[in-house]
Amino acid sequence: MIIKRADAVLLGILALAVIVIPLSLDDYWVLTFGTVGAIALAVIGLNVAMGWAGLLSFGQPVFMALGGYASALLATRYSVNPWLALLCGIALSAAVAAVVGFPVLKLESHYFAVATFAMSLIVLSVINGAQGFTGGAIGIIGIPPLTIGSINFAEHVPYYVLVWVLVAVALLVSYAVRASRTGRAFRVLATRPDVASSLGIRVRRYRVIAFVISAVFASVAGSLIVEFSTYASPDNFNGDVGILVFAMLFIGGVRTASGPIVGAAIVTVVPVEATAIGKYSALTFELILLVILVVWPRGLGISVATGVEDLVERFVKNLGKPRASVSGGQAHE
Amino acid sequence: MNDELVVSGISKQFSGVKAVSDVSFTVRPGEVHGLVGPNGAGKSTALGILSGFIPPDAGSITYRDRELVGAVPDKLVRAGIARTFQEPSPVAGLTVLENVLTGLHIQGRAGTLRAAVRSPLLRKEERLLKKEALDLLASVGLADRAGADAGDLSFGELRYLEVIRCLGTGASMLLLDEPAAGMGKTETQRLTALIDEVRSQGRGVLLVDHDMGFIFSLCDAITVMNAGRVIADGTPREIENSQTVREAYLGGNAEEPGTGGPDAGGLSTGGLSTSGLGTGRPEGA
Amino acid sequence: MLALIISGIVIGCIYALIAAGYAIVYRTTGVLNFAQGSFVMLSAMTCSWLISAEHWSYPLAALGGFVLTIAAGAAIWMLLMAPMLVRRLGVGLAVIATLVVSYALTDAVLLWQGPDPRSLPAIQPTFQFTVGGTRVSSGQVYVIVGMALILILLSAFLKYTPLGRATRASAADHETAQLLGISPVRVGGYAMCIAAAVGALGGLLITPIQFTSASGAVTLALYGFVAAVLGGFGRLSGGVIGGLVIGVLQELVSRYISTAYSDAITFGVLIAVLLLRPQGLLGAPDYGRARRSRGGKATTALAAVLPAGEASGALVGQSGQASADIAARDGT
Repeated sequence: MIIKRADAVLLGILALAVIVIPLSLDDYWVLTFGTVGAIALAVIGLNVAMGWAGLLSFGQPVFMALGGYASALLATRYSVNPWLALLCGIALSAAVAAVVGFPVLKLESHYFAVATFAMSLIVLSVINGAQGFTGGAIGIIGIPPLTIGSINFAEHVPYYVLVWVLVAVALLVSYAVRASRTGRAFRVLATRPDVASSLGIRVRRYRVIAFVISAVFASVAGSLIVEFSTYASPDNFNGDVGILVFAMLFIGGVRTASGPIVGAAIVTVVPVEATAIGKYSALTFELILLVILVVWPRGLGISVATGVEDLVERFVKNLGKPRASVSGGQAHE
Repeated sequence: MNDELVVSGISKQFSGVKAVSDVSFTVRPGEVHGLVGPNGAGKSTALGILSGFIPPDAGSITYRDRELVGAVPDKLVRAGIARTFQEPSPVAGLTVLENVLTGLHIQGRAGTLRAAVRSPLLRKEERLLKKEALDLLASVGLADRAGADAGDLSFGELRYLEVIRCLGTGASMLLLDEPAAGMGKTETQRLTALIDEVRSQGRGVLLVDHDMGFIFSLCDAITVMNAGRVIADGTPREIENSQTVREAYLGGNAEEPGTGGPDAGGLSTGGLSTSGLGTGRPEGA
Repeated sequence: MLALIISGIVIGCIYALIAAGYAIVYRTTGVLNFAQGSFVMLSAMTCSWLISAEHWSYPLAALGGFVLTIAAGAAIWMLLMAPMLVRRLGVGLAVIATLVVSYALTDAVLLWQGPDPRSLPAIQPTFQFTVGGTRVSSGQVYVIVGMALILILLSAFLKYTPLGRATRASAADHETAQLLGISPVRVGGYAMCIAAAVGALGGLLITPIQFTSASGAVTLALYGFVAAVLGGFGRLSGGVIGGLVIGVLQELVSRYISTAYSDAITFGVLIAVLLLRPQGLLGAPDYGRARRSRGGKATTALAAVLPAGEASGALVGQSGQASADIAARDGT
């Protein structure tokens, strides 16, 4: 079974929610969940690289920035069609991921993690430094939005639809890859690169492929975010974002289809809504994440869902059984 | 094209200890070649070197007119040399079928882009690969466990999985690392039949094992190692009659089954089933 | 220009202390502890707060900061790192956890004290002198001398005391360590406390001459890491060289190129070193090896001591043994 049952059920519920929200809730929620969807794309990408191929990457902000700034610069400075700019962003991110990824992926996992984190800081530094080109800390404004005919995707509802359609596509594509020999190669080399190598799998090549896939998804996310707000700034892409995306994946559930969405939703929505914890939200999430890492390394969302599934199963089984006799074999004379 | 796997002058030191010293032997296609020796003889290291996991200090490995010494494991597999692991190594979280499919990886052609869009070529290839995987599973009686989680298999079943996964690579030279260790009599027989079948396909097999009965029942040639060196190389009959070999294992007392006598000259014989040093099969491993 | 170099050297000393912390924890546990920077920050912020809010005397407040930081180090080990490592979750996740802890500590301190950077009173006695037309303050001297003293003491500790030797044994020869009854979990805890102590002292030394802010903890940790890698990971002397180089480099880049690019260059150096010369300038021994070994499995001290096993699921990279050495020794 490609997707575990609990995961599929969660995904179904999410799909339902996605459809229902714009119909029944007000514009604020449409906006919020539009944002959730965009960042979920980056989280899905991380799931491919980390969840399946075992790469500890903090590099999502790098590619989000590349995609976002490619969109911004090409569309404003060079009057490129925003859709084309988005595609260029993808090409750029894929190229960078392949070229930089190749040497960097020979590092051990924790050094790789640090290297990708360092990369995100380098990108941030360069964006701030090259202010003539990138607008520095101020950023780039007035970016032409994505449009098809009269539909303007910088408006809440069309953006929402676009984002969630892309999320669905991302899930389909990532699972299609997972079901293929590439996906199997990922899954072997994640835990047993020695076995992978002994089966003829070029471990480094497949790691690079996984990294490129995550970069592509992140790039789209970055472009969407920038196109929606028609504004690009380095704040969207700082090092913290890498940690946040990681947190989203873990809170939602690694290696699941629903996990990235659940995680993105929780981390985005809760701090805003639970204003009581408002300023404590960052710390709270960090603590929660730490607890999750220790107790539920598979991720909170899916652990909860699986737990619920187990409970339901047991309940259903017990419905059919006669009540066990209380005295059993105990002597009660 | 020279289809023999020629190992020549392989040496490897670890922290001043010579694990393997000037080891040479040849595995021919259609031959099962045993590699035996007491504990600490260096068989594991030799296998590690042949499979690309341990770079040797010196020596050469040639196969099909290519010098392969020092090549990484995946390159060796593409050159036609594949190994199993002593410790069965199924991939956790994958089903039995998926595990076998990983072995078939290099037989596939469809790349990631095709996979992403589920192109017709990919789908056709997946069907073919699945069929071949099921055939491999059927050859060891595991076809009905295809959907099971690999972790649910018994030890013997995991060993079969290890071997057929290796077969899936299409390698023509197989390096089997103690495939029968811990297996019962029937399982060993089944494995023997499987290896026999592999041999009749014209493939070569290097069989590293302790179970002398198993070795003698299968091997066309045997190389004996001790303390990192090759001390004997020849047909099973020759090895059986070799005084050098006997001394290395037993300190002179070869005829009694299961004596395992005191070490001669301090050589350890732990784990060796000496009852097989005659002909005939042992009762169990 | 000389002033820049001196400032660079001074901050470089702090990087060296942070690098020493990394070295100690890595040698015993195989984990890169990114909370190192937080230790520096925490002692200084606590001391500062104790002085201003609780009106403690300077020495007492410094002690308070010192002790609290060590307690934090111990807590991080016991509550987070040890459980993760014992469950064979793999070193990679533990490293990420320390990074998250670093952020968490920063946020905690921000909530506690607010975002303003803080400083500490100058260490007495104060003096100053001029060298080549540049003024050097006592605070700067104390940092440099302090760092040298701390590292010399630390080095002696590791070589000559039983606990220090246990730390080194644990890293260098896992079987011996186990035979000697050294519990890797306890040694890891001690290593964290020592690392925390070193970091804490660094914070107390630098803050009198330079503001420390809560949000600077993560960047400090990263800069210290670059210093460690550059000099030669796992070596105390490597950390010194690396620290001084990075410290001076940052000052020069900020002045002559642009402050914005300082990070790009610092981390560019990191990646370059990791890729081209992972053993660093001085070359580290076994540990600090940044590359994956042939076949993909890596050895790390703690992971090798604990029973080998798969990491849970496909979460992290390599855990468990399979270095050629071990295979050969088990060998047939």
